Amino acid sequence: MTDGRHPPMAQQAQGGTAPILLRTIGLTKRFGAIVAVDGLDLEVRSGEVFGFLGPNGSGKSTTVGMILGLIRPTAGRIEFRGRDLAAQRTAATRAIGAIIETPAFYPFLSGRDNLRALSIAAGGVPERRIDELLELVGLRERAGSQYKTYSLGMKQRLGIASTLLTDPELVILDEPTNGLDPAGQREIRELIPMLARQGHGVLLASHLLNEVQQVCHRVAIIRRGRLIQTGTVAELVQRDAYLELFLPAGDLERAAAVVQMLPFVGQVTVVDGRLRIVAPREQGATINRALAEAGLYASAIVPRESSLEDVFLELTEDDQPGERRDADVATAA
Amino acid sequence: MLPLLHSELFRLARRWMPRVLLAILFAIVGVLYLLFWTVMQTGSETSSDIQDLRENLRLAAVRDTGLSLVFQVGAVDVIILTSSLIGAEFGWGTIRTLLPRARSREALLAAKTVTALLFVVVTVVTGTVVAFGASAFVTAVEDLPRGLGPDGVVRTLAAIGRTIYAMVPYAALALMITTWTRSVAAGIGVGLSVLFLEGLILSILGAAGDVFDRVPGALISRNVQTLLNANGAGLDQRFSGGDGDLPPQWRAALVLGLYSAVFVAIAFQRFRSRDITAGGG
Repeated sequence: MTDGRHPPMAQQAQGGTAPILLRTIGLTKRFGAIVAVDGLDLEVRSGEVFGFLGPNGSGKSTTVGMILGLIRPTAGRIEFRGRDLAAQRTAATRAIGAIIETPAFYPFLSGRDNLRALSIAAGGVPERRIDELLELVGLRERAGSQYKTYSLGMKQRLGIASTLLTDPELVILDEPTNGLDPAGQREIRELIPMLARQGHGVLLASHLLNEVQQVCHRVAIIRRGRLIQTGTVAELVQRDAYLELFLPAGDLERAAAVVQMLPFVGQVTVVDGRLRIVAPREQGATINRALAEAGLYASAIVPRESSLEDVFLELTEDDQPGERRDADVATAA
Repeated sequence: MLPLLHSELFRLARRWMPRVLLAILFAIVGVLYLLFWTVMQTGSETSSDIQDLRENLRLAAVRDTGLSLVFQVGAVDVIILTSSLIGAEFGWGTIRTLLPRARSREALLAAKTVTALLFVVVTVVTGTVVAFGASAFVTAVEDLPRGLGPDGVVRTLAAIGRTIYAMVPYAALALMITTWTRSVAAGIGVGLSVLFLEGLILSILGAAGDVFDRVPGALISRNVQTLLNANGAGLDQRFSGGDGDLPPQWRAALVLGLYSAVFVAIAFQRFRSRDITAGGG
């Protein structure tokens, strides 16, 4: 895995200076009257892990399908390394590795032969590369067993190995830890940042928001096919950041009145006997001084951030569970 | 396309299906020869039927008797395998894994089409070898005339070529139906229906008198029959049936070629424009 071919670019990627690997411009897909993806603009850079989030049926898999050439866009463009992706499909067969939804392989072939068959189709890779990948995903012992005898976790591991077969510049992982035991999930969580450090761009679609928060540099959240939020994980979790003040119960009302007078303070609420103030975390000292001048003394001022899960749920809260448009799309198509 | 073709052959070589289909061909052709031989032994040597049977089982007649049997069984094999080559990718969902590795959709379907054609060739060649083996056995045991007759090798090779050509429309039909429906069962069902029911349909149309006079010549089976009958040219007997009102060879070849081209073109057009969504379809 660590062949050193790619320079470490994760830092650059986080700073937004690494080259853009994949860009979608106004990407749209309609299935009849259903708009599955609606004018989506995304950018994935070399050396970054880009989280792609959205509720079921929000258009994630349709977007990935369009990037992989499985689904024809109705409108918009996909660029890879600055050029139209459709015009460089041959190069893309080796430069993009992906698993989309559940992994699918030939049931009558062994895990090793499945990788061989895919490598042949993509123009061939050395046999030792297949050995390395089987070792990496912990399948070496079962490499000779037929795929149909594999557990869900083993199938998922083989799927991850197949994405890395040609050492692609862009790795697309759709729910990569699905079916893995906790140890397996942890291995994959460690593998993903490693790929980014080697210079691969990683597009990670996942429902496991804790996982995304741990490994992604930037995320995009889509809902009903539309991009509703994009930014670094830090930006998103600080979007609803607040300060929590610990004060005697009798002082809460007066303290609330004092801090509300400060110009940078937003909403002030009392939650569970604590004062919750929407304000920049660096203003903690100013708040403390204002309280002290009013004869109020906080025993603690703690900056709090929302989790990515909180942000995600807030942004997508009015999506009803019944609105599963990928399912509609599968039927419509 | 070559890497994709290589990958197709790599996978096909590891599947049981082609081996089982060829084993069935081997068994049926062998058993039928054995059956003919058994009948030949039980009948009177002076009977004209038995004399015909002796003629049909000698080595020179393999290009007629043998290849007719190979066509009947082999076409079934070819329909099944071609349907599976395409339909199983959708059924297993592997189309989603394989297609992103392909230079283009056209290249992927072209690789599958060539694989199906190679299987047609392998089927006919294997069947011919089995028929020659069975005929050689009967020839040796019954002391039938040896040798392939005048221009026997050339005529046999031409017969193999004609039989391969006659099988191609059925492979193309299975390719088109399976690509269209994404279903192995549909490809096999429609392919076998056309293979076996066309004759019945022709009989029904024939009962209508002159109204449908021109229809049989435009269908697949009558043109296939023309080519298979041509395999027996130069032989005294005609296992594949009388010439009757069959179309000329050139027209039969043209009609079958047109069918194959149209079926393949429709398959490519459908595959090119199809969205591969969840579950492979």
